[in-house]
Amino acid sequence: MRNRWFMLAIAVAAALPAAAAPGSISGTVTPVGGSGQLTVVYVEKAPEAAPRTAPVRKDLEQKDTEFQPRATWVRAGDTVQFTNLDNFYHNVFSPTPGNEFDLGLYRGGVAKSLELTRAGEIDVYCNIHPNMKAKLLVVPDDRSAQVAADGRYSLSGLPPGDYVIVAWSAVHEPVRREVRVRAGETTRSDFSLKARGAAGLHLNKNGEQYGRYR
Amino acid sequence: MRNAALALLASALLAPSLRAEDAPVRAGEGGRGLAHLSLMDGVRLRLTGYVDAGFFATQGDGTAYVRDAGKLLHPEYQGVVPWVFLGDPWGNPVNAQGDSADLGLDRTNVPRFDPIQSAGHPSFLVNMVDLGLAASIGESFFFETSIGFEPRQGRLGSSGDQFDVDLAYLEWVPFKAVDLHVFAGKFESTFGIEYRTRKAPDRFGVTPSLISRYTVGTVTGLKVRGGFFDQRVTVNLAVTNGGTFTEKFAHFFNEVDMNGGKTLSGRVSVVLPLPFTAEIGASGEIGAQDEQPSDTTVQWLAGADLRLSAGNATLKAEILRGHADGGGIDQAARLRVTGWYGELQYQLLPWLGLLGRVDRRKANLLAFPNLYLTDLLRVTGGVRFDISWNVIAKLEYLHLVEVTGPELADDVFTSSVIFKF
Repeated sequence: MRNRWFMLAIAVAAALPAAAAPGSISGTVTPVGGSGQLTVVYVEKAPEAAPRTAPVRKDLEQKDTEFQPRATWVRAGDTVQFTNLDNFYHNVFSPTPGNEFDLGLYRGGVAKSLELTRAGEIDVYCNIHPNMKAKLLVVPDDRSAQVAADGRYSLSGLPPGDYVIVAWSAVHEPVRREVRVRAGETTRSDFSLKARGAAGLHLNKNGEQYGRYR
Repeated sequence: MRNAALALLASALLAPSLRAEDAPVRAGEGGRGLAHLSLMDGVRLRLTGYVDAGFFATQGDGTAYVRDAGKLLHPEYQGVVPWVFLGDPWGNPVNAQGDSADLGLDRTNVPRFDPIQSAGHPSFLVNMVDLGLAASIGESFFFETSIGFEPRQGRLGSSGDQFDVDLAYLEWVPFKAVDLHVFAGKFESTFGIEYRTRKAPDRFGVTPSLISRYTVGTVTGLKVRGGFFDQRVTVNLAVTNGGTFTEKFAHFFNEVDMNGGKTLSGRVSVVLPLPFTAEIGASGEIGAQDEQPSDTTVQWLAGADLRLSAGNATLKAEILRGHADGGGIDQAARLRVTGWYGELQYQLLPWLGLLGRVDRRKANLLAFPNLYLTDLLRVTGGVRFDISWNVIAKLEYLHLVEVTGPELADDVFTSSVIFKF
């Protein structure tokens, strides 16, 4: 009797489709110049969509006529709250195609929220103070990681398949790479990031040069 | 009871910081409201402007100078000039453009613009109605014009309603990656830093400094401004018809040049690599004296400026020295002037700002047949209320001390409510 149940269990296990063990990607990111900057590695394309997770909120403050921090990252669906900690007015806007927004002018002590649903890099400016600049990175989903201080990163729990991953930093040219993930294995992918060229001047939210005096 | 009152006061003071945020804006869903009108051929047009209205009260008869009758205090001018005046006719301004409460009697039949003539009576006043058009063509060309209207009743000594084309220029940005701007037309001054805040909505307080009359005038010609080394170094150079004077009592400027000599002006500034904003600048201006036909009669200004900004505090200071030869054809006015100011601005709360300023002007101005001898120290205190982005209210008190010559009753209380769009 005991042997019969044992044989049945083996038969059932053999009949089930084999669930592939997830793999992972890890490696290092080496910036050329501008070290110590926020750097993120994320999956841009994957063989299957990732399950949605609950949105979270991140903060980006306006203080001493600067955005602090000057770069941050969120997942699509997350919210960024811009809090004006100066005792004077600021504006927050972006002309980045597909992710344009204008939070309007608001005084110190007031916070405004921005919901980000489309992945991509977003330039953030103040319409009053041209020197205020920040970059927002919106990654598609949870398959993303902030690079540690020692340059290492790891993306785990990835179903086997072909991926496009990106190493991004606000002051370096982003690098894209195709990576194949195999079941139960860790694929190594190291990046070397080169500094971006000069950003040049940006226009105000009306598409015009900033004021006549600086 | 007392605690309840304190709590009420504290909640009122902190009210702005407790303001609930709006619902989140979703990126990519377009702007909110019309930023500009889109015209043919890619021209975008925007309307700007403001209204500045106020109330002022002055000591005495509203004037800040007095005649040295019989030249009792300055006998050295007996037989030299017919009239000697002591004080500063524009030392007691009531608004952003520096209009004096009263310029007194026109004793000498010299043409002049006396815009208020309050005779020392407290008065409400529409200081300025400003309308502007700003147009951009692509990303490289920008046009701006600003026209100021001053509603005034015309009568003897005052020409009534005034309007002034304050700005009218084309700006060209030839390179996208280089901070280089070329201006043609009538544009902002290149001298010092006060011109940046000369208009009522931009000025922290109500009134200008004692030396603004030499530095903030808009000028007609060509200008190049460049920012280098991540905008830590800024160079501003202009060749124009005349100088940046706005002195209306003895005329030093004209829209159309009366001589062939042009005025060269410029400023170089450096932002120092410090943990707070620290900008220092040096300015200069030299050219044929305005308002007379000789090319060889020289007028010059030299100055230095400082701007420190940390947290909610900003300190601004400027010093200048000026010289106009005078004489020559048509007896142009002669000027020797030194002056300075230091201004501290503190934004105590998001809606409440405090202002303190000390300024000094020493001048010897001969606008024949009048000689004005000035040695004035002025202390200004002010408060501003940022009711909203568009609406600002300001109060200011100016205490004038005649360092030499008779002490005059010429203090000013003034106020201003500005709506801008």
